[in-house]
Amino acid sequence: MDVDRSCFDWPVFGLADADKRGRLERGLGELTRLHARNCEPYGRIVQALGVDPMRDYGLEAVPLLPVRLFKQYELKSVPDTAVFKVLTSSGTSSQQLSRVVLDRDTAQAQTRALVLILQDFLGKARLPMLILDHPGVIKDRRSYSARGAGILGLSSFGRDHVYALRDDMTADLEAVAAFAERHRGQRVLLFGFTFMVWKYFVGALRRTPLRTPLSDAILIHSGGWKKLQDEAVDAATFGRALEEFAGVSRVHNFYGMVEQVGSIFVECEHGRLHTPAFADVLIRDARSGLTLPPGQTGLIQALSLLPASYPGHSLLTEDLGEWTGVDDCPCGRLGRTFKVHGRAARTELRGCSDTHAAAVEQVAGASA
Amino acid sequence: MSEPYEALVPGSPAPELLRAAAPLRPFAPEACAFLEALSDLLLQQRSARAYAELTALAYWMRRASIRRLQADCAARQGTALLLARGTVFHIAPANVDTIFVYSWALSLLTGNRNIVRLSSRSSPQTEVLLDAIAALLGDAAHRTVGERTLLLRYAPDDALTGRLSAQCDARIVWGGDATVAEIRRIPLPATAIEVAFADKQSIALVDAARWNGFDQARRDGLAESFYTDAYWFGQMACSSPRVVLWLGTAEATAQARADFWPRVERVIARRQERFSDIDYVDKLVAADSLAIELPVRIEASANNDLTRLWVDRPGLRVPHFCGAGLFLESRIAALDELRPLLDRKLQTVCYAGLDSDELRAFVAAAPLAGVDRFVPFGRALEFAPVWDGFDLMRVFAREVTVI
Repeated sequence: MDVDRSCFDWPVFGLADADKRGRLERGLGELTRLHARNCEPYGRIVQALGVDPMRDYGLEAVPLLPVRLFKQYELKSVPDTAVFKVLTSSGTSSQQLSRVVLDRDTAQAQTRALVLILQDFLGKARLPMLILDHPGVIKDRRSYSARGAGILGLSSFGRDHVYALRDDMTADLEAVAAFAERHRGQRVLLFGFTFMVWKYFVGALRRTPLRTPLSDAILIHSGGWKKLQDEAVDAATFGRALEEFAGVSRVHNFYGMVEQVGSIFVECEHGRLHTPAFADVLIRDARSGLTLPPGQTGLIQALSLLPASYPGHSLLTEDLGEWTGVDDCPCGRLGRTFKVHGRAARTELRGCSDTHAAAVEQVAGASA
Repeated sequence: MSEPYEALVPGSPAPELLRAAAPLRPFAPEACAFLEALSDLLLQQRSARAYAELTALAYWMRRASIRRLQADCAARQGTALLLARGTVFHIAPANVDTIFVYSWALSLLTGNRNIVRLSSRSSPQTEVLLDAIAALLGDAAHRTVGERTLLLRYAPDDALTGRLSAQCDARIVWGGDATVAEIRRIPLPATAIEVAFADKQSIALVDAARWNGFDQARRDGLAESFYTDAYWFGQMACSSPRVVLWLGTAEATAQARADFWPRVERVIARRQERFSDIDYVDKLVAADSLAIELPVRIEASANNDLTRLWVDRPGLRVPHFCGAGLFLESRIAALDELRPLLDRKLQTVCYAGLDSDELRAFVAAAPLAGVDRFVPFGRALEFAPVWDGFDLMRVFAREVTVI
């Protein structure tokens, strides 16, 4: 697919809002046209909405798709012969999985974007990398989960990769110790999914008197705080435990989704998630559909210039967040910043029908 | 002895002991007195008055209302000799909190003993109701009803459902297709009957030209009534319309729609509480899914409390339906175009701009493949003893012939 990728020449956190907005509007308009032409279901939605894809729309008026549609339909804008790989979400087994179709161009764009964003936080040198997961996550190279995609994406960014967990999720403490020993006194990179990091890595380290001699480790993690909140673990507790048990000096959470791999939103040392030059976030009130000003919580809409092989350039998530500012973060990075408040809650079933059946399913689910 | 169910009224008889009490005569004074007392109690209690559906139930059980029901039954019955069947086992739906009382009350008035299984999922409304019922049945004055009543709750348990079914002469299954399928696997005595309430859906039908001829006040009143029908239970009641079918020419329909929806939106703005964020997302997913699968036009609306899609080719089903104010609109040129669209899954047609004589003539003219009731706007959610095509008073009775 012939897509303009000049966005990678833009300073990744150096575009002032007005400039960035114009560039995004042009790029997103181009993608709307491309997907309306090449992805039939998307074209039908755009037509049903009465949107004229030939026009460029303001950032707030770019048509959006609810991200859940990727669980119900295969939405792709490339012919089958151009499919390079298919990403799936790592949701629990009972849920339908998202399927995200990548061609070579979009897959490469995802990797480039990730590198540009992370270099801004980590520097250009490849760091020795400890992956806080098990190697089984990336076994099948043609189709893998968001976890696998994240690990592969970040792996290209480190060197001397070591997996901290075995396939049975127990911590391989000897491997960790050997890694620490090899890179004593050096800056190293740790990567994992928030809950895995807490449960299997921190959990194992807690139970052993050994302390890893990592002294300058940076942890990048993602996946959401929901399960940790259930255990009353907040970001500060998480950070302190990693410092105490693993010598981690810096922790960067990031927000991202399998439907927009690559254009991730990384949290800076001031606790704000940053939008890179080729992506942005809007906060919408679910009832009015309108975008909200800073400080008000609403649904997160994620915009990205990367998805060319599937219509994922403007997605309405089911996550709640608020934007915290634009071009004004003390860390100096330009662009919009925001916070995530977790998943919007699902309400109870209502209505006349099938409520005993729902109870049956719940009971069956509990025993499974 | 410990039973595998939770009896909701202390001192209730065990299922096998219900038979010790003989059935009552239809409209027995003890049954009427009990319902009247329950009505009074609900109307007095502040806790009950807080819920509109409990108030509606209490009015439905007032003495005058039961008298009317009795007169109506007598008129319909003619010279037929109707007796209680014996024991009726009611399996109530979970989230329409009052249905179990309607079902039980009609059966009680027919003279039956009753086993009523409530959903294990409770609600404040149900608890208020159960407190009132337990208080009355604990009173010696209502012993006749108490001896003939077992209200219970249990988690899905085929053995127990089988044991209760073995005691019954009629089994009434509310709760939709999946529940019906679950319960139907469990045998009944050879002489017993079953009535099952399937998943159903409903539509609104509006004569466009007549709508355009109504005065302002009438149109506002009808918009208000439509809102009640559609939004009261978040549009998830089976009687709430999901489709709005316009009857008339394209021009009249365009004019009527341009008038109707803004009026409905004004009612929504005044009365509708915010749905959950996920409800709004669900509607967006539903609208986009419909757009992928059908040639629809997604119409603009004031906000996401109302989502409507126009489709040129009329249909009465809404795939991906999720409630919370989602409507599929289309047009027919003449009432007879409704006929090929009907099927057994259609329950209620809420109408405006038509009259009951026209609709009676429509029904009488030729056999219909579906539809259970036609009601004017505003009455979709009213319970009636004839439900989904079943005359419940008749279902709960058996007829004896004497020649």
